[in-house]
Amino acid sequence: MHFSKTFAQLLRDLPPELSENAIEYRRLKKLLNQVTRELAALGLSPTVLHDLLQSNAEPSGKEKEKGRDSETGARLLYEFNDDVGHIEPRLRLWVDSTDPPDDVEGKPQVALVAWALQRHAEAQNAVLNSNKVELVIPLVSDSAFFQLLAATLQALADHLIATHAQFVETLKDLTKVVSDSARPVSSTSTSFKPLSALRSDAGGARVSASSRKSDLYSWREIFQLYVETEIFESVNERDRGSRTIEDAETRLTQFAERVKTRGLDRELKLQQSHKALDSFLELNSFILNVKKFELANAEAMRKILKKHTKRTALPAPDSSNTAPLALLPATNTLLPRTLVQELGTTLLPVIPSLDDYACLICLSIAFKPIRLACGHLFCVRCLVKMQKRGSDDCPMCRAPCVLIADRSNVDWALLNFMRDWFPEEASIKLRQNEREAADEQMAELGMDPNQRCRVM
Amino acid sequence: MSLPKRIIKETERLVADPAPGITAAPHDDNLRYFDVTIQGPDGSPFQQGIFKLELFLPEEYPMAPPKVRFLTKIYHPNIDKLGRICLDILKDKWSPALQIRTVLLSVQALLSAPNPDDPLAPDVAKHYKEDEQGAQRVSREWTQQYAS
Repeated sequence: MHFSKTFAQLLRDLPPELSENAIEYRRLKKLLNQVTRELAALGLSPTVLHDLLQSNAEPSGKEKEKGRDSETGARLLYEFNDDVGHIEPRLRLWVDSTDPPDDVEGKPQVALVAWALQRHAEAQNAVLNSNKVELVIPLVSDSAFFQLLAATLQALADHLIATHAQFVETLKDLTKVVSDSARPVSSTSTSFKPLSALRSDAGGARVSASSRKSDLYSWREIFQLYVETEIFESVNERDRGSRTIEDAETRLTQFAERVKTRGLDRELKLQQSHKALDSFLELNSFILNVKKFELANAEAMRKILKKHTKRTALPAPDSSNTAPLALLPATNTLLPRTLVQELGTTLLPVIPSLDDYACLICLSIAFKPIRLACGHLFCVRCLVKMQKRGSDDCPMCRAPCVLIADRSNVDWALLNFMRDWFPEEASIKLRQNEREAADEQMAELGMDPNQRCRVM
Repeated sequence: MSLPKRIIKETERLVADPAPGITAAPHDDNLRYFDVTIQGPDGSPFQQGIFKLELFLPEEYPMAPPKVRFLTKIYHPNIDKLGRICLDILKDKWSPALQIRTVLLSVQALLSAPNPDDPLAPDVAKHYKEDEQGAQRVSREWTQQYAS
């Protein structure tokens, strides 16, 4: 299938506000035909151009040292003039000649080129003096080609900036809604049992009792699922980095399905949460579309420039010839990544993640949280175990501060924060701690610790 | 008897996101016992070798270090005939914040950086100190013979 068809098809699947700003591949291709015709009319068919450009390429390396004077025939340069504020490609042709044509200015281009080519052909056989004649041949169609390309790229870049701004706005609104609907129920409560909070905040700063339902746990699970699905980027050690579009698309679908199969969408209690979830999914599809769009454009750009080279034999703008690329407006190729990152730094942190508040020893919530003199944080149970074993070194930095830790090391601010944001985990952990401590006491009363019977 | 949450979490991650060159899988009938393989690090005499190890998490883990032993024969100054490893974090420098993953990465690093000044296999260490190239050649031969 022709790329123009593939490209059109790719764009059809994208929302119009994106596809309307895509690279105009077909128009560029038509212009390219005009470029070929113009060059042919000048007598500069691809073969001729190839031949002329080849003779430039030769005096590189060692030969260069001898100086250009030793060359014979014509030399050709494909250059981009940007003095005029837009890109104007032109050919610069040098010809050795003993008798330059009388009226270089007045003669038509075709005649001049024909004359130059004639001289070039003759020069293959004869040694001539180095009386160079320089011809500048503006390329009208080629200018139109690059101007259209530059214009579309500029429009594309502008559109992506606008898109980005819009995304940021939507994300901000969504973040507000989510943080509102996931506010801890028990934030003013002294008890961390989630249900008792319904009464205790009657006189608090909360708006009204009816709005005190919270979707904190549903949102946390949704976001955790989202992070685990690693839709756009892998954080695995073996395949770290951006995922392909197909992979990202599959994963996004998977995520949406998992949210449904786990009933997370139905568990959302607040009306605004449902809308927010839809909006969240839409934002992700949007990122995916931007990714598709960007890839399609990059491919179109690559293809059209390749075609340009192939059809005209004019050197392609590549790493050794970056002039035209530098003149073209740059598009933000990292936009999808930026969007993913913004989502990760704006929306997701609204819900504190358990992983950030885990004890590094038992890997469950660090409750009650003890801050050692060195600043590292662990749960009280793990530190008690360390103290019983007589281990004094902080597990993180080996500073000797475990044995001196006592009640004064409880991080009360963090303790309250955990009760607010992780009421269930905190209460479970507290019960576990108590049970474990009791078990240990039993063991110390005479049972062999390795053989102890654990009633679960 | 239930497995501590920490061991479950560690195992899940070891399987889902293994460290490059390292595998660790628990036995079905004993979830505290792991079959481990470590690839010899590139640039070391153990390059291209696949070394089998066993790893056991004692009841006190993570307060006490895991027990790790090479099952594949290896010519290394800090690993003896029985496969026992001389590595500080497996003994007095153990910290409960270390994990199976970090321990195995340390063992892999030990293959790249033998330390003949703190030997467990005195004859190998002597060989490494007196004729490093010759010792490395033996290490390579053993790797080819036993670890591939």
